[in-house]
Amino acid sequence: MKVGLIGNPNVGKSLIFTQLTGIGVEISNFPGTTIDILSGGVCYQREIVELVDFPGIYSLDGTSDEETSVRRYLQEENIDVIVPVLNASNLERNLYLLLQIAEYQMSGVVVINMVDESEKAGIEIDFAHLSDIIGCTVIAAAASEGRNVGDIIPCTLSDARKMNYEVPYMQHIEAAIRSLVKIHGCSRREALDALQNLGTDADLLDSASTLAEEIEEEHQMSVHQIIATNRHNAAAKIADEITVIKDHKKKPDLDSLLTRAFPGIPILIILLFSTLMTVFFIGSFLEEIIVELFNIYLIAPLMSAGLSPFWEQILFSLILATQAGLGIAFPFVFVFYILISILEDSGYMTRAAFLADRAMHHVGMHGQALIPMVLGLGCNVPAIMSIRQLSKRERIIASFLITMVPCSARTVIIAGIVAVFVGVAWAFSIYLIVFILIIITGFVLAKITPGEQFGMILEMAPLRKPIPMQTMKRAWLHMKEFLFIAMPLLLVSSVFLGVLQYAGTIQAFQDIFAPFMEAVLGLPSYASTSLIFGILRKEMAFETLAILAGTADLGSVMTSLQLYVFAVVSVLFVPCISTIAVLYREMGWKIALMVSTYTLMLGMGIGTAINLLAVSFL
Amino acid sequence: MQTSVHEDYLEWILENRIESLEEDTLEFLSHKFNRNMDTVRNDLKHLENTGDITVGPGTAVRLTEQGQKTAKCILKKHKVLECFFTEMLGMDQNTASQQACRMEHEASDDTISRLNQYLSRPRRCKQACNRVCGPQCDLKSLSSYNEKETVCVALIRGPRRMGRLNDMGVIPGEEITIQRKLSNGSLVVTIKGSDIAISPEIAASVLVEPIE
Repeated sequence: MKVGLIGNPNVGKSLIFTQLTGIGVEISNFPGTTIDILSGGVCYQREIVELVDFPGIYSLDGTSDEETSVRRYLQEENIDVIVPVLNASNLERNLYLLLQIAEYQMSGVVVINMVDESEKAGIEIDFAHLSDIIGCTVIAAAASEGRNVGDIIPCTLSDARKMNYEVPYMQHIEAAIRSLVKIHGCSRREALDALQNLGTDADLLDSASTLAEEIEEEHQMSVHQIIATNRHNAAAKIADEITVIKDHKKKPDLDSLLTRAFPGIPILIILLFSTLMTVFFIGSFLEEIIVELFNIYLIAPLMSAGLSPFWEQILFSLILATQAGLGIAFPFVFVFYILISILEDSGYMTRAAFLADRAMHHVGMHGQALIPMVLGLGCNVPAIMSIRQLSKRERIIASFLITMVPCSARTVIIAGIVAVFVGVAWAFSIYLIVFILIIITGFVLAKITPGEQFGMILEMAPLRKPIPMQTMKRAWLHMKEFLFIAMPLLLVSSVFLGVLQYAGTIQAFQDIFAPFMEAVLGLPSYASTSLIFGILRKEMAFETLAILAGTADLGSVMTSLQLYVFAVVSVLFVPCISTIAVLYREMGWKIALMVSTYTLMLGMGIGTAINLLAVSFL
Repeated sequence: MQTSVHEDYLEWILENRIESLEEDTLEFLSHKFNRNMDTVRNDLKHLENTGDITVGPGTAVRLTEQGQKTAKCILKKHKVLECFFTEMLGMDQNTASQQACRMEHEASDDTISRLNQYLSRPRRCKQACNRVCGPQCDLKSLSSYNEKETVCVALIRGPRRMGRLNDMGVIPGEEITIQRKLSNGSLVVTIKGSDIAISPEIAASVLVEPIE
């Protein structure tokens, strides 16, 4: 049996999903799209129920990726029971989606979530009456307290009934539906979709478009607008019938601080800056411990085990990759994601997006793209994965810009090489260079990327006090993407590079590029090998450099200029292999190739410029 | 005297807010309607007799209730026709006005009201909104209002593109309250109980009218 959870964004669907499925959640891709539809198993009275969690959507007849994939899933996969989840404190808007779901005439159980919040706000809801109107069972739940969540599965098994509410549409729409149903023998819902140019039946779409044109001509509104208006009106009527607002309590208005230019923007900057500083301090502290543990308990025993050189090389690469992955992953990335999850859960992120909206326009994106950019400071891989909600044009621009954002691995290079051996101010100057390059790149891309620029329409999440458990779960979700997508790639490519090194290919490579590196960048020949390792994982460039230089005190073998140039080049040039792989998966090989080439040129170009300028002026 | 001339007098009095009939006013009239001064005096007497205007004391003149009604009706017909000629047929202002002047007397009330309905549809008379032809005379984009103001959505420019706006509840007739407006034009609005942040260019495509 298959049960689908569906609802607007931010209604607590995922919380219900995790509470019902426990830890047995698996991420599965719905074939043909890149939008994740989560599914997990629940066992109830010896029956296995497959629970599907759809991405949050506002409508079933939209054209965004999420909406399209949910619509396709509903039409093509057999969902036995649909469970619409509604937010009790914003029933009217949520009912709009419910009425659309009801048009699919599936068996369902309606969950009204967050009743704790609506009770606090003094909203009284007549659940029985809603149940009469929609024709199926209604459960009042509060997922954050776990209230009545346990009733959902038993109810879907024993008490799911067909939703039978029909929105009364304007007469011309109804007439068009009638004639389409009569001529093509389709369902009411299919006729409605066809009128909005959705669906696959060419004949149906053809006659629907003629009818739609007539209606649009007559009313001077798009059919979608008319249908939406009718649905909203129906939803408003139902909401009016079933809710009584008893006393209107005013919440403290934090937004007067957060969403004004002042002090909103200073708060935003302070929050981001302190997040990064916290990550850096906690991260570097933990990293040292982890790296040390690896050195003592894995690398040292391996070296003294006396294996054949080939296996030693393979195992060494594997351990090194794991060490690098975990050394970065847990200390930097996880700490970063915990802090970001706090900001997300508290509802602050949407405010940040609002404040940044206009500024982001200059680099060809809008406020919503701020979140992926900030995530990129942790690790580029999940950041690239989170750009799906943007439009095509913005995704292209974001692919370039995110890969340029200095992730925590690159922070390690900047901190480990420049801050330690050259100076803290110089370390910050690298951030400044990268930041300026991101702005210039975005500015140019905004001009040349094809496609229309859309503005932002973003629902502001209500401000809430983050619940620690939930925040940790969300952080873990980000972390899982990193662990299960970036890490395996890292291990595989690490072994691959290990083999290459064993076979001497890397040495050959170094021989070809060394003269170039020496002449243009002014770097010692072993630096090119380190840079190649940098493609694997950014901070490995630093570690390899130390190994190849034969000392951890890099200041003694390289000049400050060399170290600085090395850091700039490795921070800028070619994203790490996991990022390239994710770019390929999300955007196709063309974009992945373009981004890699661009960053390669940029890294080399800027490195050369700095070297030549410094040599000729100093 | 022909009905058309009769109506023209009334329309003229209403449109120019004439309150007294001085000698030069009469001269202007005789010139405008191409009639000699005596005929004009007679015409005005006739208007008084039919109960459309009252004259005196002195040179004072005003429309009676009946006269006012006739004049308004003709004036409306004139403007609707003129709007149709300029906006729909692309005629120049002068010719349109002259043609309207002649046709206003023959067009039936029903014709005019249908024509008016046709013209009042949003897309049909964009520039004409501040003229007379439509009932929506006060449409401004959402971005021209300030914080804490509540307005009513009239229409959304750029059909089809704004699916998400419609789904969020931005539909004609819906009330929107502006919660926050940054100096760069970004808005946070409350609609159907939730706060939604929108970019300036989107706000500019939502036309709204004030709520009295």
